[in-house]
Amino acid sequence: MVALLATAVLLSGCSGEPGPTVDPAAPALPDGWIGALVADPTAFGRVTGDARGAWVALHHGDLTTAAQGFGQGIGAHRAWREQAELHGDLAELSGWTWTALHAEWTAQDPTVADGPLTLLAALAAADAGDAEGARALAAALPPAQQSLVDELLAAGRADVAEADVDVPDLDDGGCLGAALAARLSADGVELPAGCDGSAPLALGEGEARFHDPLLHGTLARSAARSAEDALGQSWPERIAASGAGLDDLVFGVFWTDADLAAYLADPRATLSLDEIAGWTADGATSDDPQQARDQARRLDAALDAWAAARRDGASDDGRALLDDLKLVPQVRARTLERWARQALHNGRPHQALAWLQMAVDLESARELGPINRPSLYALLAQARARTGRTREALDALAVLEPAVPEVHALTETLGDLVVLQGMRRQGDSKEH
Amino acid sequence: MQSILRIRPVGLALALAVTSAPAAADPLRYAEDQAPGIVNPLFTSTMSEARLGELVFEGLYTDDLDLRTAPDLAESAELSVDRTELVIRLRKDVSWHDGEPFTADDVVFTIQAMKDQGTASTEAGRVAWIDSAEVVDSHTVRLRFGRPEASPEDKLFFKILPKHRFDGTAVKRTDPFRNKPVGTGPFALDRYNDDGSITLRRYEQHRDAAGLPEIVMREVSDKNYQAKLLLYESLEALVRVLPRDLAMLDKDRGVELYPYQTNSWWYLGFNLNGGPWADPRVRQAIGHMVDKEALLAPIGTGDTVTGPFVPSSPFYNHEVKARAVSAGQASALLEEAGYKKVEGVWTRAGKPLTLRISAHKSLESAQEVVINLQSQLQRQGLTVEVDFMDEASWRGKVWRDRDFDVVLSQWSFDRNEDVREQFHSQGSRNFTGYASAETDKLLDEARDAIDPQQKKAALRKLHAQVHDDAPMVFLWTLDSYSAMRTRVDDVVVHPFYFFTWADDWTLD
Amino acid sequence: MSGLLRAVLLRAAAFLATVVGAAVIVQLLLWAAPGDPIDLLPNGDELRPVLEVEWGLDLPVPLRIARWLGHAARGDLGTSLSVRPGASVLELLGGSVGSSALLLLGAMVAGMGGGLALAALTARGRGLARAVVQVLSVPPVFLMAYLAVVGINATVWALVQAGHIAPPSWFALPAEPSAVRTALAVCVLAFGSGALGEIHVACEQELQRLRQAPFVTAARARGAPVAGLLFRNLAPSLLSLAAARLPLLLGGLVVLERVLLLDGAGSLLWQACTQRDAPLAMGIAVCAASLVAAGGLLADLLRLWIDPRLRRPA
Repeated sequence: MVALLATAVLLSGCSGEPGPTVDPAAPALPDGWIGALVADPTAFGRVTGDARGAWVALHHGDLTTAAQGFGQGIGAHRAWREQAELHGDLAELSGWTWTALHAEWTAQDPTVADGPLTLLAALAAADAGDAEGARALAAALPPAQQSLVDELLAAGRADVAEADVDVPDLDDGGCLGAALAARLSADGVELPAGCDGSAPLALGEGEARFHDPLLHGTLARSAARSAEDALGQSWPERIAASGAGLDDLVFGVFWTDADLAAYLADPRATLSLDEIAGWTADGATSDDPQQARDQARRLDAALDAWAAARRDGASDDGRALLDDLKLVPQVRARTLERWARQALHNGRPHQALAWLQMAVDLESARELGPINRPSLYALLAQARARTGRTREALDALAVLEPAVPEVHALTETLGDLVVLQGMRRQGDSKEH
Repeated sequence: MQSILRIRPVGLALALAVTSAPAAADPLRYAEDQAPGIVNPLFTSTMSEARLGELVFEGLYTDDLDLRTAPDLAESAELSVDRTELVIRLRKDVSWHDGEPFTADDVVFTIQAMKDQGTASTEAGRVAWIDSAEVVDSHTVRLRFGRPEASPEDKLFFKILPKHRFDGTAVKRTDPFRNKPVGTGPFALDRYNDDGSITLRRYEQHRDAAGLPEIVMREVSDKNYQAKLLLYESLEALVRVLPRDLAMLDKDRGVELYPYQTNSWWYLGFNLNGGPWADPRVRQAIGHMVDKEALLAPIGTGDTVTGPFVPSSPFYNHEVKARAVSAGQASALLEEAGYKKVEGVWTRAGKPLTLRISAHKSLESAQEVVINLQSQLQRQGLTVEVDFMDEASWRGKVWRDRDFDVVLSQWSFDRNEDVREQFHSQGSRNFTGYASAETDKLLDEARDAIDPQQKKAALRKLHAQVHDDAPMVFLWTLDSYSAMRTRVDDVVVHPFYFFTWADDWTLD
Repeated sequence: MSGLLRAVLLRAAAFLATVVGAAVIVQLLLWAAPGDPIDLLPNGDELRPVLEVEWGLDLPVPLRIARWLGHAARGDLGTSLSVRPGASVLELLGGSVGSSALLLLGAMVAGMGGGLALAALTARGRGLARAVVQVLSVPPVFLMAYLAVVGINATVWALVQAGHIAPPSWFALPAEPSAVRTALAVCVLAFGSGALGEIHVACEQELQRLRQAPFVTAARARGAPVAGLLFRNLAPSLLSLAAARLPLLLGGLVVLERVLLLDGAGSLLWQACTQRDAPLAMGIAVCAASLVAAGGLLADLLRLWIDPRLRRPA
């Protein structure tokens, strides 16, 4: 069960590809944990209990502080789980960025392919799960490096036996070698201290300053393991046996305990939030941002109606809780984020971009918070980059970097791509 | 007046009862601060003209939805092996708004007209790299360049004009074309209306007819009105939202916000051509006096900056630390520069240190900033005067005559963030008079680099250099959005030119 | 008769002097203001040598004025430089003067009519009413227009949101051209910047003076109707007052047209000045000066016609 949960963390993005259907007639939303809190605001105090500081950190998207504050249990699990998801998203962006950087740079200066760029790009693509891209890049590499890429692609897959590969010392005993070793061994995925992406790889004299392409993939796996450890064995069994309590659900993406149970049984299960907005399991085929916006507006209508009804019956404290914690906007943003992740996985970046742009809380667009989660910006960066807005993708990463310093490596790599793309064009500037 | 006030609600109710908005043939109405004076791409001088031009005219190439260079009037092109010659085949299914066919003659004419000294085109720089243009056949042109071009298509975005509408390549600004423009774009200029608005209608013969039947440009010079009109459904689109209106519009379910022109930063630029500001210590001292956070808070959300880039830029040097707000450090620097505080006022040789802050009237929220800045500096012993200027005064006094102490202004950049013209000693936009051999060297290095990391490194060094030299106090970057009613569907906004993909937009 | 001729000649001379004076003042102001239309072009520095000659900016100011007057005498007011580059000033004036004139006329009638009506009401000493009129007309034109627009829009929008009404066709002010917007402009121009208060007080004093005049007392004693008599005696001072108000109204018009987004000569003059478009600014200024001078002349003639006493030589 725990293994299932860990996989779920990584696979949650692939669950239930939504598609548009006929507008639903006044979808009925279950009360969910938000309804329970609004009806009985004192429950919030009971749930958060002694770990109030950690809950506040989790609420504001400060995942590291939250994970440390909780130590163990559902809170720590949720903080680690969100980190795993965040680094998973960033690993995908990293894969895309390295592939694009390789293409753009070799087109402008073919000699650069002789350096480490091709191997690094192939590793990054493999790390993002882009097997086809990774193999295409690896085709130009010496056989030893090709097999390394293959091993990385196979690592972690249940149907592949553990590899016995000689990990080459690519960067003079540095972080890339350590990351590779960690990823290709069964022992663990911990990186040595100092491998936080702040410094470039030591690839030899005169080489361009490249950063670790495997950083986020490694961090994602490490966080997933921590999430698993934080929970222990008993929790999933208890959920399966007797359902979730309020504390299992607060601040979570699961609306009701039924959602959580369904998710535990099958990470691809469609959640009630998907359904209320009129989505079915059928995949959308076009990448039409308008369709995405219409979909989001149906979600808004449903959530507005739901919130108004809860508010009507609530006490002053209940209403204050609803507003102060921004509970409904939070659910809205998380839902849009989920849809966007799915759309990105299914090759629909323009739709993802539309949803993510709508999800950002502009009142504090440059800060992480209950609505502007770290993963929102990771996805926004990816959606922007994949729709040609690479410079704007850096804007999204810049919001993330103070809270997730490891992003620095990716920022530098994406920055190289942006600079390369700009070299061909005439610049324009104007006053005001 | 009292009777008017009493009567008004009654009259209002009557007016409401008899008139209600017509529902037929909805146009998309958008607001500009200032209406375009001229609709001829040879003479584009403002963003409002550039935006309107985007609807009426087309170039050989354009940005596709993913911001890649894509053929527009061109169909395909072939670059010679030595990269000094490009043969472009043109689309054959294009016609001008007056029904005439579009041909190679038009392309060659446009390039020649832009280059013609007699035209005095504002856009001449865009074709300076093209040596010659010639017609190969009715739908093929050949361009030759002086230097090899790796990817010339990226520079062929300028708008093409109809040769048959002009007498020669020396085009005057007064040419009747200025208000009767004929393009090949998805929208044709229909009329100038009595109320100063401009109506564009869909060009039905366009190869890819637009979704909107009509677009109306309306001049609304007061920015405070603009946001209100959008809320009241009296406008469908707002090109640029005041930062302080963002939260209000974001909350409205009937409004959607789109990021637009995000690479911009504010600064205080000193006049280095003489006077007390030529001394870097005085400029640095001012840097220690300005509390940027306190100035920024009332006008919107943003990030403070320490150099000439937005913090998310690949060129931004995060190792440069902001000057601390410190009266002590400011005093030390001023004393070193020979100033003394006499009765609370900094003076040298008996003269008080006086600073005149000049700001452009149209700079959004400039008044709040200037007033707060004035009080910050006066508290620390400076005599501060304020001068708000209209565009002509600004260009004349600041740009031409260099008659200013310090300006409050903003630079907006496209994705290239090329600051060469602002900081090179020979730069065309360097009105502060900043000249540093080291900076020039770094700018040359950045321009000539073919390695992105080398370019990054050079510009990061430049960031540190100009921070130290302090020709400007770099202030902040603000969130920048355009807004649209949710009735407008299928919107994708071009990050710089806004209307590039407006032919896809529709109205509910 | 010779006295009248002299008066007319004097008027004509004053008219000419006003027109030339207006042209000179505008040209001097634009010359003194920093910047010129070439500065407004992005590559103005490069284009300056060519455009200075083309636009006559290389000439000394007196020569510029002389040249302009010479052309103007032949009915050629030149072309706009920066507001609508290349458009004939006459054409631009033709398109904008009509709406502004209508606005002025409306404001004049509404202001005088309103002031007179209020004076009739308050002339018998209702101090409070007088004070209220004074206070309400105090806000300057731009502020009054701004507050009215904001107030009306907020009210209408609240009604629309509450589902009581559909948005009217003129909504939202001031973006949509409509009769409501014009009416608002007329009212604000007529009453704002203290106009109503001033007219009201002047009318009231004149009314009080006339009511106590011996010929009115006599007429009243005879039981003859005094209203016509009062009006006939009031008219000359009203006309003088109207003529004196005209320049102030013109000033208000420039601001008002900007605030209410009205496309008239006032807003065009504003644009011409901010964009240093000398030919256009001079064209409008001369037009306005002519209007003021003509207004004065017309008022004089009307007074002569109404009041036979004025026709006698002194």
